[in-house]
Amino acid sequence: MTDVAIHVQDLSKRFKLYGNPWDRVLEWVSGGRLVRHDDFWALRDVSFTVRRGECLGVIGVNGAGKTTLLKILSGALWPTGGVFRVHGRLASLLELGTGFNPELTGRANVFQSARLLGFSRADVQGRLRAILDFADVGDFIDQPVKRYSSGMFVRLAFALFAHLEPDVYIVDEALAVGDIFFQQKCFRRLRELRRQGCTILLVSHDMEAVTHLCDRAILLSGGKLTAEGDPPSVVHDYFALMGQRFMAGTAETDRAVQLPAGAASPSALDVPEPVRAQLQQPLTSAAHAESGGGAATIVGFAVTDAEGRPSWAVASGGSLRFWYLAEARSAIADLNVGIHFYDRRGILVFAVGTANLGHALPALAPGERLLCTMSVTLELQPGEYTLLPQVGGLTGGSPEPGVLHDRLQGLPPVLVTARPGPVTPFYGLVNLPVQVAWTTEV
Amino acid sequence: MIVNIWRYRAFIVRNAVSDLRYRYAGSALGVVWHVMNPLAQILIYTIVFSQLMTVRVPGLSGTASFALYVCAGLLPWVGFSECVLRGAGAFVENATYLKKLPIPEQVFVAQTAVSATLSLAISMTLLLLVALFTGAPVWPAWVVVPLVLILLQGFGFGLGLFFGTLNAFIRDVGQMLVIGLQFWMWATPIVYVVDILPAPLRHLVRFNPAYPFIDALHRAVLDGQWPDPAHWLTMIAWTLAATAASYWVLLRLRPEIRDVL
Repeated sequence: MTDVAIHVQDLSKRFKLYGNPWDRVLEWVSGGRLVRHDDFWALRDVSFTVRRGECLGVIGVNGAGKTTLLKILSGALWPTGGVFRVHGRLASLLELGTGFNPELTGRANVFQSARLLGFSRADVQGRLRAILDFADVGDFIDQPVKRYSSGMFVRLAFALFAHLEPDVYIVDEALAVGDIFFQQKCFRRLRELRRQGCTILLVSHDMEAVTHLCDRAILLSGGKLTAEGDPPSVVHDYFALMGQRFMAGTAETDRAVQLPAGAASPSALDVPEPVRAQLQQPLTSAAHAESGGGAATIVGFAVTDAEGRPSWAVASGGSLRFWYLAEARSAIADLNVGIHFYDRRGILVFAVGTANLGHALPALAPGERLLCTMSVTLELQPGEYTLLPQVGGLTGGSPEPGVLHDRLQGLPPVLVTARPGPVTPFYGLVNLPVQVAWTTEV
Repeated sequence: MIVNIWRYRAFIVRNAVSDLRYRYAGSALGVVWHVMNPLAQILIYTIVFSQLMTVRVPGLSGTASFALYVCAGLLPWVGFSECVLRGAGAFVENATYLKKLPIPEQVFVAQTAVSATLSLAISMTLLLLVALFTGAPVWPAWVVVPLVLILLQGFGFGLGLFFGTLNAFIRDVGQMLVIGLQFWMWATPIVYVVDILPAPLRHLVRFNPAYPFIDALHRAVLDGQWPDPAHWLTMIAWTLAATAASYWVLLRLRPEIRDVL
């Protein structure tokens, strides 16, 4: 028995894009001499190996090739080049419930789907009890699945999937379904399967899950494998990549700026060289909010860890530094540099500006630039948070920042990971300062 | 190809049966409609051709037999053309499965072929029963009817798979096929007898791939003639040719079918 569960060598997948389906016929009849399509490489020379019993995380932005890879591994797409080998039986959550016939009962579907995945009737018979318990659909098991609620449908499909015990599991985003209790049940089951020595390929946008469940991770970007290693470092690369994608504007080179020389900085602000370089990267124009008045614009933006290394992720309770390079278009006396954090439900978790903090930034003449950095301690529950960095101005003596000059939208989220430690430091959205005192003399 | 179809036989049969069972889902009589529809058709032809339009067909005896002649060719044709048309649409229809499950492509065409063949079996059984009741002679040669029908549907499966593969890439194929099959039906002696064709066409009709099947059925059902070796040879040849051609096309285009669905 080999130690390798999945072996992938130079796997490539090309999609041919035709403007018109008849162009394909022209190619056929010309015997390949005529080329009327554009190539799109969804995967390009991807190689990796998953050992038996290992859990590999596959991450990447949308369109990076994750789903294509999974479909090839599960046999639903043919690769254009390269080879792959899966040792043993494979079950994929991609297929979650797709094999279900709406007219058949839940029970009949369990047997039919299992057979499609290569499991015999006896295999299923022995596990039926566990499957039914997990799915928790009650008497509905003998009803046609078309009468199921979508929740019941997914529960039954996952229950089947989780109890077949193939040699290799492919788990897709589909886990993000069902209520919180069912999700927790799914994760518990995955951990259990891992302990039993199942090989798991986990594809997710949930960096928390990848960091905690996986032994190793790979990062796909534009169809290529760009990073491979321990989950935290690959997750870090993922966020760095998202940052780059946003920053790497190609046009607008005229907006590339020369930073003020270090000596010219008003205060002795120490700007690390990578940050300086990043701030000079032109921003993509789409990132600027249209609602901004434009008296000042953000021409450069960077996120680093407390030491100034580029990073979009931090453990809860740690700090991230947000770097702004702002340019005045007209004379501004009362610049307010601020940031908003939203959680994944879109709730404003925290927002602050230099004016709120009581700082008076220097007045700027037209064309003058200001480099400002804010270090924020993210005492937040683990998760992803989106940012809205902005520059505005005060109006009169109002406590609200009245005028918005510019705001950056569509930034990648920052990731707050769980703080390592034996006890969860707090529950809820944020960690509020708490003081405790006690006595036994009562 | 055959190996994969055999491996998925349970899936194919189960889906074909549930396809039939649920075609009339929601109606009170349900599966009974599978009997009612062909029965109505057979009765209409019988009444029209034996009572209203008493057609005298040279070479055919009695009045009921022209109705029997039409039905013995028309019902198989309906089954065959359903087999081809639905087979040609099978990949598009089952795109959600094909895009997610590692099931071999031909399985879905086989499924529609089995479903079409099952309803053909029902309608042909009814036809022979009606023939019995209307006093038509019963022939021992009727026992070859199922065999001829299976060959015909095998031919239909081959064509369905062939056009289904092309249809995945160019959806116009399915529409062209609808029109093409109508021309083909009228080019085949189903509602007319071959003798009414002018001599040059009568020779050409032998190159019509559907002709040997329909002719063998006519002879067996009406006159109790066993198909001669030439019939068997051409029927088997067309079935094998269609299956081989479809397999060749599938093999060449298979890597891309799931990309375009």
